[in-house]
This record gives sequence, C-alpha cells and structure tokens, in this order.
Amino acid sequence: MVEFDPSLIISFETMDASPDILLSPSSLSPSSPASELSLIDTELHSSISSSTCPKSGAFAIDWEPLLLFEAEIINNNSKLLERDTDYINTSFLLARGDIGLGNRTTVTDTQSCDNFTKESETVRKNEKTTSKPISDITALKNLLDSYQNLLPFIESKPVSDFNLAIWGHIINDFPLLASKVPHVVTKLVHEGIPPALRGHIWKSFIFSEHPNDKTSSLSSLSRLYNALAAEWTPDLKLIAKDLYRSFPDVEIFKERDGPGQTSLGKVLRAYSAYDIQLGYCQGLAFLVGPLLMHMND
Amino acid sequence: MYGSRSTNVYDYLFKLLLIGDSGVGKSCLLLRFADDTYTESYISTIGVDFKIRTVELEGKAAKLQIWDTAGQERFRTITSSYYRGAHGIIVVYDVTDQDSFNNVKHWFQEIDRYASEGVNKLLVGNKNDMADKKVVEYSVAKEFADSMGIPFLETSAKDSTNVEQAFLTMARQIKERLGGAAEKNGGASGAQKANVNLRGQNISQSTGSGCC
Repeated sequence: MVEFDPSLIISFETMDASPDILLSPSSLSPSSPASELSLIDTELHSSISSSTCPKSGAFAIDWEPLLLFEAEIINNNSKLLERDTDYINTSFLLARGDIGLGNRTTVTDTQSCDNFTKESETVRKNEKTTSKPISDITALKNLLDSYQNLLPFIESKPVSDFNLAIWGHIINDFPLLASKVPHVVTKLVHEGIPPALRGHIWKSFIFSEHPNDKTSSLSSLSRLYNALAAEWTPDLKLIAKDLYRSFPDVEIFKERDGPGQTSLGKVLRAYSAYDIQLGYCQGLAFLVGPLLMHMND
Repeated sequence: MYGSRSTNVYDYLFKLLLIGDSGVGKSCLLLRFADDTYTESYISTIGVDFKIRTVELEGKAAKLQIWDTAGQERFRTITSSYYRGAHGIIVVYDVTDQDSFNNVKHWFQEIDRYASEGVNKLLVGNKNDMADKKVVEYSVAKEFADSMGIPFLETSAKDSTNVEQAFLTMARQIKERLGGAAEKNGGASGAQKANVNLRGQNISQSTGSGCC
C-alpha cells in the first residue's frame, strides 16, 4: 500500500561519492547560486548549509529513526484516537497539494504503520554500512546559543539532538519531510518550534509552495521589496519618528540608526508603499519587530 | 510633593486629555507629571493610554485622570471619542517641529467638533529645552493662543520646566469653572459641587473602581 521510494534514501556514501546527487529538485536550493539567495537568505545559508555540509550543501538524512518515530506516532495516534485526545492531525499538512511532490507517498492511515516498520527495516538494510547517527548539528546548536545571547528574554526549552536534526532537515527540505514523515513534522510543530530556529523554519514553510523556483521567486521578491522600500510615501516622517520608540528595551533595536532600526524602517517603508490604502499605521512596528528578531529583512 | 498621589480619597475627579501630533512628547509630559521620570526612548502610543495623579487644589484633593492619545491621523476616530467626557484638553506641539505647530489649529477644530461645550483648553509647546533646534518662537505661539483666548505655556518634559504648572493650571481652571457653575446652581461646598464627577467624599476607592 505504501510505496517507499528507495531513491529517497540518501546515505553518506553516495553523498561523498557524488556531491551533486541530491534528494529532490526542491532540495537543490541550498546549493543554488549563492548570489541570488544571499539577498534574503544569507544568514540561514551561511550559518547552516555551508558550515554543516561543506561537501554536499545539503543535510544527509538518516531516515531510519525518523521513520520509526513516524510509525510510533501513528501507533500512538490509533490509541489516542479512541479517546479523542491529543490526536495528531496531519490533515493541514496533507491538504497542501504542493507538498505531495509527485510520487512521494504519504502515510495517512494507521494500518500502514506495519508497512512502515518494514520500510524501516529496508532502510536499515540499505544503510547498514553507511548509516551514522544524525550528528552534524553544530551549526544549529550555535544558532541556539547565539539566539539565547541576542534575545535572552525569550524562553527557550532545551532541544534534543534528535529533534534538532529533524528541524535541520525541515529547514533544508520541508516538502520532503512533510511528505515522508508528516506525523513527525506535525508533532514537532505542535510541541513548538525552537525560538532560535523560527525564522529559518517559517521561511522553509513559506517557500515550500514553490520548491522548484524558490530561487527565482526569492530574487524577484527581494527586487520588489527593495524597489518598494525606496518609494516615497506620505508616512516616511512618521515611520522615522517611530523607529527609535518602538523597542527601546530590545538590544537589537536600541541603537539609533543602527542595523535593527534600519531594517525595521525598510520593512515599514516597503509595506506602506505596498499597501497604499493602509500605508503606515502606528503599531505595525510591533508586528515587524518580532519577525526581525527571527530573520533578516 | 507627590505625597497625595497614592491616596484613594479625593474631592474631585477631573478628566484631562492630551492631544497633538505624533512625537511631540505627549506621553513624556504625562510620564513626567504622573511619575516624575523621563526617558529618551518612550514607546509610541497606540490608541489611548492614561495615568492618574491626585493633586491638592486649595485644600481639596483633585484626582486627575489624564488620557494620553495617539497622534497619528488614523487613530482620530478612536481618540475623538475621548473628547466628550473630558473636563480639560491640552493641545501639545513640539517647538522644534513647525508642522506640529501648524497642525495646532486642526486639533482645536477637533475639540470644537467632539468635546463638550465650555471645555477648558490649554496650548503647550513642548521640548523647550532644545533651544538650538527651536523653530516655533514663543511670541508667535503666544499671539496665536491669545487670539483664541487660550492659556499658553512652553514646557520641557526632559528638564521638568512648566510641566507641573501646565497640569495644575488646567486643574485650577476646571475647578473654577465647575465650582462657579455649581454655585450658580446653589450648590454647597467642595465635593457637593455639580458637574464634577463625584465618587463621594472620603470614600476609599478600591483600585478596581471605575476604569482603572
């Protein structure tokens, strides 16, 4: 019933042998021309892709524990379903056609968990010699640390290495993870995205809609953004006035005309030019601020 | 000086309103008056905010409930609904910002449109400590205020100049106006006087009372 596509299994061996072999078209993005991506995505790609996977530009996914985890959640679900509590509903993920990605199959019913266990065994066989625990998460850990230093007032729960690795995969190829292990993804999201990774994960969610032309949509968006931010709007004076009185107590926005206030101003100007009817409304800065705490403009 | 602020007992309750362009220092004036503090980086006011301070006027405790409004045009539908219940309205401009002074007459038009008749008004030019950046001269503003028959003060929330005076001037005038009206109606002393919103004399107000 559930067909497992062995080509999805990627091992360290194949990656080492041929760095260009990647999981899917959508996972090409991390190795896409850096110049295009750098406009929006510099932070992510410098901090994760390059440092974590200097060779391949993509995370090697060890599917075995993931599939086991998926099967376990599905098993639990069937028990929970009877009591109708805490049932992990993946329909919101599966409802999104763009996540289907062609032949990839998704597991939606509980009967399939047996198949899944079998698949896991297949995976184990295939990866027996090459499989390593997901361990290359130094970059993600650094992210968690630097975030804690930057925004100490945001509480972060400790993240297990296992979960951290899954988040890493989600960042790199959300559609793939969502289609292969939807229950795992949903469970993790339900439990909360680690604050330090929010910006990266939000982005991977958003751009999963156009996995194949992620690069071009990003660059056209960033062109539009820059053009809008340069336009004149009647709100420029007021925006400038509000920049230094929006987050006077938040380190990254404290400095007058510093990088934080500059990017805050740019987003607000671009938005006021984009949405002429609304323009700038005092209070928008309080919405933009938290976004900028998690990603660059 | 601020000893009476914490008291829950008062004879009068006056509602004051601060209006004026965005960024002229309305919130800072209020912060100086109510909490006697000042910060360079106060967050912009969204919608409305208020603070309370009880002052003594000729032996009577007057609780000033001061409403602070957002200056941005688009909030006027919200802020205008606060004009009606106000006993006194303070129009603030920034002495270093000509536009904010030019807009003062629009703010007075707003008062005419929305506030109760006979409401006390006061014009305040804030940021007067920034002498080198001052563009609105005292004489010009004074002339304008006189032509409208409105008292005028230049203040600085930063160095406290005239902040007390501004609010106390307003409170005194309200007391005079309402007290006078009450006397005409044959009202008796102090808190018994008419129009003033009375919460009763010497009744302890719990913090949960009214809107606060």
